[in-house]
Amino acid sequence: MTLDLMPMVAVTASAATLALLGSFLVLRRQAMLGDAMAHSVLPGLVVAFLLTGSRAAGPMFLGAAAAAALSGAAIGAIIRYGRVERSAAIGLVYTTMFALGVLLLELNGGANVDLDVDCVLSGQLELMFWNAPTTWAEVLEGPSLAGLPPQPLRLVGLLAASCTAVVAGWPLLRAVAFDAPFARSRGLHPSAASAGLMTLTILAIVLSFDAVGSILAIALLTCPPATARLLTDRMGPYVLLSVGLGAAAGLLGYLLATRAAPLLLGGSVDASGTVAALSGLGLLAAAACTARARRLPESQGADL
Amino acid sequence: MLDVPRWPLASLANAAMTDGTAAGQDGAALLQAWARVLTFGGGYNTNVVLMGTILLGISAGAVGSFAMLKGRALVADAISHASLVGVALAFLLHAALGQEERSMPLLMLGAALSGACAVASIEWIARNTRLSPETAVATISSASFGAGIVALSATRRVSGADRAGLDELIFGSTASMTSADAALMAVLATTALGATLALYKVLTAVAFNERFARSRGLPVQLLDAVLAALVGAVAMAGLQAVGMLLVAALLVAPAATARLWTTRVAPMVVVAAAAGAGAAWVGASISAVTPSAPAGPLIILSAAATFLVSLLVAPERGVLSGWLRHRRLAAAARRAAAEAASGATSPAPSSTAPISTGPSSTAPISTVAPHTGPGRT
Repeated sequence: MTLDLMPMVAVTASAATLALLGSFLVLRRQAMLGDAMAHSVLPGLVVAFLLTGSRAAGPMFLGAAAAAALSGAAIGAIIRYGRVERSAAIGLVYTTMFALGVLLLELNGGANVDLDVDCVLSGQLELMFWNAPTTWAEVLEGPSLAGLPPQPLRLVGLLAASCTAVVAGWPLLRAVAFDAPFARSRGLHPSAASAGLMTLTILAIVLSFDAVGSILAIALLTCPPATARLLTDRMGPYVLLSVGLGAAAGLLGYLLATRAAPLLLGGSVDASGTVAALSGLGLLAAAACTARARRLPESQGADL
Repeated sequence: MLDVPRWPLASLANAAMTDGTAAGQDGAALLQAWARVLTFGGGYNTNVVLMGTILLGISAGAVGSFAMLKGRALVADAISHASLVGVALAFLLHAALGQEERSMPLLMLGAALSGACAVASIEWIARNTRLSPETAVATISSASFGAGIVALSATRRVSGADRAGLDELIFGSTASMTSADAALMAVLATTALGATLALYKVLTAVAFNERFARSRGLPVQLLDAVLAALVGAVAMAGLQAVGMLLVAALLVAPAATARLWTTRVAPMVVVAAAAGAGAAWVGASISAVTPSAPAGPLIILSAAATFLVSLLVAPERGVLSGWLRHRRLAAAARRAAAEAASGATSPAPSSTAPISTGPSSTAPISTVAPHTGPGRT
């Protein structure tokens, strides 16, 4: 057991959860929406923090959900009334919300050390160090258990809850992902599935804020699913592969940043950034491999 | 670095506050200081930075108009997110060569190279794999930003080099800009603006009808690359003042604002440039008098406020004018229905009566009310 077991658990659990929930966003071609949500929850988080003065998960989630709902409504209204194309409307709203969050943070920057701009960018894994017990006797004694940081446990809990929700709602999710009108005609509720996924995704973004920061959460929300999408055509393997790739990027990225980097560069580098970069490299590798495979049938077709 | 005199934009506010913190925090004094900066009375360096930022706003509006008409607003987002890797690597390289001073042109060159790599890989993924362009943008921009964070954390290990300002490139800060930085920004912005105006006709042709442009022998792919390069130039120019996470919004918001006011290209470019300039002017000057507020978010929020106001009051497409038109139409329909009802009370057969009565006649009106179709310019 090492000092940084808990940060490692947190990064891996957060990466797996984000990859699981992101796989449904990517499948429905809503990757940009994940991007927008991760940016636009920031003012909600900051306002909740300033009002309550703590980083308790409940108020933070409410603030984030309110900010996400507000930006969703704003994007819809701008597309409808402003007749701006979708991607421009999304870009306009989420950068504005993000700017608002950054401004609020900077204006209150001197007052608090718990929530600052750096933690938006790369999380605060160093807060999760835990002097883990080394023997069973110590575990039974209990004092070190009291020092257990809550964030990794919450993330593991959310991972379990998300997995349960996805398994329970699998028929619905599958029907909705491929043919929403058909699903509706069969008496299923596509909007319920979307709302449930959105709630879990916002919760995952809020809880991941500690582990990886809000910007790098986007990489985990989109890269592992996109990689899995390139590698498989069936939905079950796609979601499983996405979760596996996410967890692998989390674990390997953390180990690379904290174990390999000191050997190569003489000091550890930012762990959450490494996780994000690694998931992107995985996507590029998968794209390079599958693009060649895709081109082959085309050239055969051209020959005929 | 200490021997180079820096005249931060914020020095004015500090000067205003030196005669007493209470007076400095006083709203009236702050407003007075703001008015002085707004009217270019804030000292040489403040004025240079303010004018550079305004030029940036003008060229962001003009270039952003074409980027938006072409449906490529998010390319700016990817370029700017990816530029962090280039900035940090250029800094590391510079430090490895034994240079201690921060060289803004070199950092911008690194940013431009990594931004170009990001755009190329997005294009390649969108073209050669089954992933949608949106997914390609979201994945590449976030993952390359992650790589940038890694490289940025590596720069913290370099001792002795002046890494002040590296972090500020993320969220933007005019306070640390020298007049040389501002001049570089102004030159880049003016170049992008000049190229956009020179290519005005071909860019318009490509934006609206790619097939027509190709049939006229225009090099459409080359022009796409040129537009991406112009977007990149604006993003590089805005790196310092607005910051890499927000500069994309400076390309989108003024153009979206202009779309609300006009349906023709030339006026749109002019309005967008004016909106961009206004946002830059207001945002940068507020930041100059309130040191704790960074310029980037202020400029973007000013641009967003302009958009919001335009969305409400724009003459053709505004919500207010749409609502008035809707009311006028509904009133006219009610009048017509009432006339028809009074003119033909007895002869009208009972079966046609529901068509001319009030409640059902207003219902179809609402379907022809404005803003129901996804119309484009």
